[in-house]
Amino acid sequence: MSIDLNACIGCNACVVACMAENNIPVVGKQQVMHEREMHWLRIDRYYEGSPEAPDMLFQPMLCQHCERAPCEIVCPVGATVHDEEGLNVMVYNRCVGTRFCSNNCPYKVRRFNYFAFAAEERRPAVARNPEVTVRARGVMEKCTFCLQRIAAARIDADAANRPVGAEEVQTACQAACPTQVFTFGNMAEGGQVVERKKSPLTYVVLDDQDTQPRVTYEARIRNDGSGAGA
Amino acid sequence: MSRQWRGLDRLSRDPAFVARASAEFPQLAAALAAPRDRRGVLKLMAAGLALAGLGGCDDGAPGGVLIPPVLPPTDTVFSGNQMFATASVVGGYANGILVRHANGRPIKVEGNPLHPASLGGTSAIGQAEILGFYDPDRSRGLIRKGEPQAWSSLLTAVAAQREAIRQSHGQGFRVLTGSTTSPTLARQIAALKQVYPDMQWHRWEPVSRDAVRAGALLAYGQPVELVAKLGAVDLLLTIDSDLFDSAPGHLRFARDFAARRNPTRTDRMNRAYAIEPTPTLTGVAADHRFIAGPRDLARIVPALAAAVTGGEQPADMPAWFAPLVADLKATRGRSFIHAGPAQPAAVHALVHAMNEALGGRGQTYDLIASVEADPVDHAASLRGLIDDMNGGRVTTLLIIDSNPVFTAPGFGEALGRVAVSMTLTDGPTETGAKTTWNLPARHGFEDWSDARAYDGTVTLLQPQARPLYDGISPHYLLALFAGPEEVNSRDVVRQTHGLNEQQWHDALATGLVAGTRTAPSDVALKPVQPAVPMPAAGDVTLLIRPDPHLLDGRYANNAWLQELPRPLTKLTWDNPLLVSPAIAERLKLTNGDQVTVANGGVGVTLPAWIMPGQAPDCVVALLGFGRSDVGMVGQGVGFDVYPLTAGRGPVSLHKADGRAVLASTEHHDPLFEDAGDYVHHGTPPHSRQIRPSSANQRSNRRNTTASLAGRLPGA
Amino acid sequence: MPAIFSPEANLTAKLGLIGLAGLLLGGMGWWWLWPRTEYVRHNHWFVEQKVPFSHQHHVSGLGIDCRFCHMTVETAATAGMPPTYTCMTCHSQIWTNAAMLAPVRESLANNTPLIWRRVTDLPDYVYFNHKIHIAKGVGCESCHGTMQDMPLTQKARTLTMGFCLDCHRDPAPNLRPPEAIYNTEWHRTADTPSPAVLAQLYHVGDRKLTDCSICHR
Repeated sequence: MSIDLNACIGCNACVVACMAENNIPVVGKQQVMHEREMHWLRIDRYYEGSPEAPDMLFQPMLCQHCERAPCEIVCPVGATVHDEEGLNVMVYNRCVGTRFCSNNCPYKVRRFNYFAFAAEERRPAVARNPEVTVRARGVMEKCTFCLQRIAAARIDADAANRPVGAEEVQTACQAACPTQVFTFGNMAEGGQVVERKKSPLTYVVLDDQDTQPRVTYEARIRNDGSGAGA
Repeated sequence: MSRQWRGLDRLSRDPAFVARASAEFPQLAAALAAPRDRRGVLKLMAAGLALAGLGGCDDGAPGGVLIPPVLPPTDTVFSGNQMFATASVVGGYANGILVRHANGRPIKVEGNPLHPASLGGTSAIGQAEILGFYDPDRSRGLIRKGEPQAWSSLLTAVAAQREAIRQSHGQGFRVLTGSTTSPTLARQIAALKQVYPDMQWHRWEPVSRDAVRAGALLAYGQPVELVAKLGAVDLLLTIDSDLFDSAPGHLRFARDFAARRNPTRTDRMNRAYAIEPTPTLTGVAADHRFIAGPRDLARIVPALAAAVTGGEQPADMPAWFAPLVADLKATRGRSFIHAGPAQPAAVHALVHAMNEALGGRGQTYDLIASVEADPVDHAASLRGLIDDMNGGRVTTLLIIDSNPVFTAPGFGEALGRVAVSMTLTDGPTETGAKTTWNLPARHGFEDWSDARAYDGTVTLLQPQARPLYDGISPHYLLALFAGPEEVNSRDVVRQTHGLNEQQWHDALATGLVAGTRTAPSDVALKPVQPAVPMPAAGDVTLLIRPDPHLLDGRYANNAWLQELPRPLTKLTWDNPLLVSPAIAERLKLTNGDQVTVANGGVGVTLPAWIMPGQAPDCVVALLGFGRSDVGMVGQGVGFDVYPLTAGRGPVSLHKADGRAVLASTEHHDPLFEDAGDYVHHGTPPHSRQIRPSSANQRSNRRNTTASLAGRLPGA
Repeated sequence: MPAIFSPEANLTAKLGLIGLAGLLLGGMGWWWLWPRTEYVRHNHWFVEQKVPFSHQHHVSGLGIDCRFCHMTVETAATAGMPPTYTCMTCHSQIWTNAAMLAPVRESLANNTPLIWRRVTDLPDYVYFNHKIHIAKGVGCESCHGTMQDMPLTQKARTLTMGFCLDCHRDPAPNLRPPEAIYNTEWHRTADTPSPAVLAQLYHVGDRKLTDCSICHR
């Protein structure tokens, strides 16, 4: 996945789309104060400069699906594993809730169900997406790159004996974004993600941790008038 | 050590903060001390109520049950997700969406790539609409003065009303709605006016666009609307603008703008300037952001207009003024200026004049005839209604999709003088609690209607599911006031547009009616020189803005939107008063300290939040919270600042006793301290070396101050 | 001082300890063994339905293909249950007054669906997809057993994760030629293509089927 920070306006449509797609529960003000909000994708806002007139920067942060994931090696029960397609997969039924994985994650993208948030939600069960497991108390969860969408495309492709197309899968965040911030796809087939990753603006967050994430960002460029432009 | 910081206490190296932060759970102590206990939160999220008709069909068999339909669906073998087009209507304007269904029920909102208002994107509010559809607090039945009623009683009551209204030719019959673009609604009200000539149609939208309308009237004599073509814009100037977050068409504008922002994806990177009193998304997206409070703007905008249209060189302007004017002139025909709805009408008129002078008309923007149906000044319309209500001249009042008891101070008292009042709303509201009748409305996903996008394109709304509860649509209600037959909304909508079978089918399949985009108007600019009113002097200027996610409060019961961190403050479940760092310094405020802000005689006490990047004299109050009648999620959340909208007097701000705990996620999940810069950014000549180098960082730091000496074009 | 414990106490103590150890081992054995029994997994349990539908009569007796009722098995994740209408295509003309079929007639008349109790079910965190299994040559019988011999429907396989993995680790021996998938009489004969050939035909083996993300989302 490639995230273009030049396009991100911070509207948070992707966050709500992710909540709707993945049955992410609401936790209430008290639990938010305990840092237990369950958003798999968040928009980090950074200031740079003086408080009176700072620069403001947005950076969407989600599971980076690291190739050398710090979370995968510490799970005592093997509930988070790397699959052949490059995804860091979270298997809810194996998770026993040690929270070692979220402890180890340098990006702090893992969310834990401290209480039975999903069971306590005030909406009928029919409102949920049937393609995504509803997590019980004591289970860790995180962005899955919309595995349910990937699986649907994979099944269709396998049944037709063809590879999954480069842009056949759109994650929920990618589909919802009004400014096309997210580029996602099957890199084995080439396509736009491969192009975007070749951009000179591409960087990796916390790259000195050498986690080799599959999510890269394109740096934000300000047109200060001294370079190319109008 | 990164120079990028997330919250002011982090920046100040407040020792208490450092101690808490090192314990890694800075909010824990505060949270534990908060009066709201977990039981209270659980009450907020009480176990799901079994919905009538949607309660588990499980008869208790181990392993569950399988329930096939009685008749198979015709022509299709059902095998997965289906998408149906409709629209999300916000502020009256349609954003086309597709709703994805699974197992026969709607579960997700997706964008409609064919729709001009978005080209496939959605907003946070559009995404959250699906939660409103399933909200257990939705109105389930007819209520009259607190007692449930059968539908027949409504029919009887309306029949009696029809008689009474007919006798008075509609004198005393008033309909109040929000801003609407629905051709069907407009047609129905026009038809009602034929039958009851003296009736009146009032409009009230608390998040007011009156100034935009009035500005267009000043400049052109007609309430024309702007259709920006940001794909052709090389230079964008926004003045306290909502161009990317809530203006009609904002999704499309953001997309077109963003398409020219990444220099590796476009040859012609655009440039944006923003002048604003408080940070907005539009300001953050700009390359250069200048901070100016309302008093400064009242001086600067006329000067800018004089410089751009007349070539004058006003004195006593900030350092960035001259380079900005030079840049605007250098991009003649390729620039666009936009002002937000909070700016006075005169500013909008001056912006129109500047845009015309810069030659953008037809290139970077068009003017079209008003998309809003029958545009009027909302404030005047409501004032007229309240005066008439107080004067006993209103006998029958219909309130459709509006909540004036909460959003208009003085309305609740006047309502008592109205003989028969009816509210049509899809959930509990303060207005519904006070009117004679509380009619349950169908949710936007449950019935037929129509609306227009920012460019005039007609979008049909089709039902995504059978109504979950008893409910009616505004079309049904208005038709009932015209005559005794009960109409089907689909017939009414179909009748408005006169489409043949194929066109109707295509409109529903694509989500828009082809060829209904409004053609550009050729109305000419009037040679006016409006004076911008100078706001009253004082230490503190109060700005009242809608909450980014709850808007005027209508989404207060939507848990997703309540918990969604606001883009710039990262606050959830609360609306503190946003104060500038200068005011916080003066009053010795920290985040959470209680303050009392008064506007004239009306004061509200609420916590404060320090907003970096806000004009030094400004405080911002956010509308939409503190609702008393909205459902279990939003009840009592936050502080009601609507009373402040009634004040005209001087604004004062005092520190009050006590502190409140605020839930902001700005300090949550911080990335490593020693990481260098978390977000990489640069300027075009350095685009090849984005790795933060000291040279890069120094130049960036200069860019963040308001004086851009040495970095601007021509300098 | 007189002894506190009599000589018999030795035997009692030994027997007691041996008994305790036996109980512990037995308990652990039971703990491990019990969930693995067919009883607990509801294998071969007859599930009571509102209408005692007989696969034996309809499939073996009448020769109706699986897909006549389970219509979406080739196109969707779920095989699909027949709507009441499907039953009534025949039973509006034959057995029209049978008491056994009264619920079906009532369902059509009152427009209320028939409620079938599930015989074969998987936990909610398992996402099984029929379409891909059919497309890759897995016969209905592999997981549902010999439906054509069941007068009342029962679960014939354990359907545990181990059962699924046994095939996913080596699918080739469990594949059938495409024309044999719905054939209830099919057995592997000398003329049947070898598992390796079938795997080649279906392109099975390209994908690592034991990734967690194949079945769990």
